[in-house]
Amino acid sequence: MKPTPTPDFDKNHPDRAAANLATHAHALFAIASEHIDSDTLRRLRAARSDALSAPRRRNLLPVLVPAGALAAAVLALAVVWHPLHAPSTAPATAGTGAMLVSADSSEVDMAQNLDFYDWLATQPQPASAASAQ
Amino acid sequence: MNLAAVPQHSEGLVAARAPELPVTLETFLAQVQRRAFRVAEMGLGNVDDALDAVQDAMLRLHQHYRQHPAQEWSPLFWGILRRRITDLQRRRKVRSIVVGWLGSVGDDGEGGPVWEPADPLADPAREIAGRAAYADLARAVRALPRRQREAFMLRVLEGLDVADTARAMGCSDGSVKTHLSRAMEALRHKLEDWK
Repeated sequence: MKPTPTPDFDKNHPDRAAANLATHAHALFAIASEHIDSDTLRRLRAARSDALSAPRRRNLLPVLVPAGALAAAVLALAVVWHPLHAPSTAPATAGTGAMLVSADSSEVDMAQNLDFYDWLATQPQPASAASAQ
Repeated sequence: MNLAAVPQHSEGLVAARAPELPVTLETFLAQVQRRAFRVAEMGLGNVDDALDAVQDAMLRLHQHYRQHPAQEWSPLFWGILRRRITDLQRRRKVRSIVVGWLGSVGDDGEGGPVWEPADPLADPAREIAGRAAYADLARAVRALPRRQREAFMLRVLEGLDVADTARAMGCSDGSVKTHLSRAMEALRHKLEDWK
């Protein structure tokens, strides 16, 4: 639907009816705005005073945006830096784990107690065992 | 409708308002508060709600836009007030629905709705001669669709130019003209006896 032209609300506009309507409406509104009862006016003044005396809300955007960007950058650096500087034993551990996956249960037990068997191998053999041989 | 009460000097008021920039925000608010109240009252039909809307608009302008150039205060303020009026209208509508629903399932059925829409202009301006005409105008404007009503109030009643009206309404200049044109057409039909 094509809109009809908007009247310019001046005396020379061809749509005189619309111009008259706008003029009268505006005049009535202006008069009504000038004639407001004293109680409402008092409340309006109080509302204005309250609004102007309220503390200004600080605009935190200039602070929050750089802070958020900095935090994101630090997090990204941490994510990138951490794998590069991981302990050198990590791959070995991963390898052991991979081996364990394919072993049966007795091998798993032995593998889990490698430290114990290492320690046991370094101990001197008891005398009773030596004499028995 | 009797328009004889409208003073002759009002002829051409719509286009004649000179845009005088206020020096301070307080000056601006003092200049605009009466008209803002009337606009809010016309949109909400309730004095208390209108005062709340105006105060909230003043508060938000002060808190968020005080540092903006003075020429921007007017569209900013009217835009804030427009949104506040819309929010209150929607909240009131929801409340009416809820209250109506609760009332329909209530056991005693007494008391009626909590919110009772007030007569928008039970006491619009006792001292003005064109009181009846203003009441008719307010009723007709309130019956308009929301965007048409906003365009009419900002462009015709408040006297903003098309660009500022568009900024306050958050739409294009062309949309303002379309809404206003339809509003004028509807009002001409409703206010036939103004001719």
